[in-house]
Amino acid sequence: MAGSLTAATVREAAIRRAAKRRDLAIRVGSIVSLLLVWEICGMLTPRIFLSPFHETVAAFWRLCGDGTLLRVTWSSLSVLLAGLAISVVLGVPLGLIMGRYVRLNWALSPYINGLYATPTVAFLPVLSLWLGLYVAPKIAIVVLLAIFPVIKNTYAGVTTVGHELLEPASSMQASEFQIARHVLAPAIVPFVMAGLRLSVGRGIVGLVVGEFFTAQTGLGGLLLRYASNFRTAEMFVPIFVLVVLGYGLTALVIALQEHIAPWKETERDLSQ
Amino acid sequence: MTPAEDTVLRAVRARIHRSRIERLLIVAATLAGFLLLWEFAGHLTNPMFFAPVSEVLVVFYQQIVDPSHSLLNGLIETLAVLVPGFVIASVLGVVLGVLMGRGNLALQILDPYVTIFYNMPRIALIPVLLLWLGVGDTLKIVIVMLAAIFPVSVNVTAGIRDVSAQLTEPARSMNASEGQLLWKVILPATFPYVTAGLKLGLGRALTTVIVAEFFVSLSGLGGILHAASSTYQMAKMFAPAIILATMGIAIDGLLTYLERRALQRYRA
Repeated sequence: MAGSLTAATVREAAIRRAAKRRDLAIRVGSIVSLLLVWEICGMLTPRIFLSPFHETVAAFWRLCGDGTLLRVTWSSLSVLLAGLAISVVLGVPLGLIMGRYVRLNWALSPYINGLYATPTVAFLPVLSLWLGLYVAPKIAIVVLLAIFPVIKNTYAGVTTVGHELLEPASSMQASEFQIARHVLAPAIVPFVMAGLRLSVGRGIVGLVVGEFFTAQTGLGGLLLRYASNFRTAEMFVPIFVLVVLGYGLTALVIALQEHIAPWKETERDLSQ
Repeated sequence: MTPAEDTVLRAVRARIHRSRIERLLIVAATLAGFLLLWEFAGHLTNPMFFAPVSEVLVVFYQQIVDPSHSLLNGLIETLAVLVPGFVIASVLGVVLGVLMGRGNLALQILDPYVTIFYNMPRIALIPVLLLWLGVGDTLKIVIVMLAAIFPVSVNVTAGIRDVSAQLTEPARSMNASEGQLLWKVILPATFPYVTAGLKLGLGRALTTVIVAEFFVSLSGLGGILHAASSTYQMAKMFAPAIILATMGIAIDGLLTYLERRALQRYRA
């Protein structure tokens, strides 16, 4: 009896492994066929519209080799990280006090909800007038896109903390700071991380828009330069790096969340 | 109900009423303070960089009654891109989401691309599409569609996978066909995920349409905004920005309302 049960389990596991292998094969096949189509189309169409895939790969190695890609990526990444850091440093305390003081929430939430729903890239021309063309307006537009998910999620996190936790703390004369540090912080970390996950994607959009329309630097600037010179092989290199950047930073936030706040891994982000 | 309970109930109601009035007062006071600050700041700063709110409102009014209807035309131009792009994206996004949610083959084939496009800042595709599609409305509609489709499809796929696990077995045991299962059971239950995806997609679509208008041809509300800012007409610049903000807030509010209605229906 026990023997046949084990045999069944083994067989089931083998079937599952085979299915997984098949799925992986389909995925790889799917990607390879697109690259083939790209290669063939690139050979058939004029160079100014599309270059074959292998030329993009060659361009990638060349740009890696001469240091261009590293320099440009660092320029973009530093702006993005600065913007995200400012969003967290300003957004978390703001969400915290809005969650603690209902009157402050009444006063501020119309503006924060309004700006969250507003396409804030529309402010880029003004930001550029006020802050110039270099790093400042780019960081500002990243913050304007990235801060709202952080504020809203922090607020949502604070409001999940019930009286059963807050009242004992204040009855033992905990200061507002101690409450924030010891009672609220553990509760809001998963929410902040979920917000930050959204902020990464929005921040990259802000970054690219900033690099397109102020001084053309970083990955966005490089992309624009290649596209306007019809260098279609090189054009896809910065796009590829942007995708990797978005994917990598999102994965990093998720890993960080699991590391510092593993106690609530399935927190939905409530701001959507 | 005893008289005591009645008194308690009345006291609670009065308290709720008072807090509602207080909230209204606070919102009004903050708004007044904000507008006053804007007005003062506008008078104190260089008019090349900022305009007081009174001037913004006057210019806004002038643009509305303006016989050439430039602002109205800008709004129509923007909507002519946004509406078709967003509608196509919603339909295709739901179809894509259903395919990937129900069929393993479709999921394995399409998932790598959805992951790539979902993580790509969609505006990075504008320069590429500009080469392929030229300067025109086609480009803008395509880019808006690309911006909005993946949030919708990703949410629908996730939703279908969530609800399928619970709902497929009971429906199957009552001999539901795949079509019935999809139309009568899974899609209705997925509706809240659809609206959540539409909300995300709409935000992306709005951002993208503005960037496309900055970029490609100076048309629509984004074009007016860009033209006004590059000629330092601060008061004129705020009008399209206000319309865009209102549009975002209004459509977001509408979708939130639909979402809440749908959730209530399924809880009941």
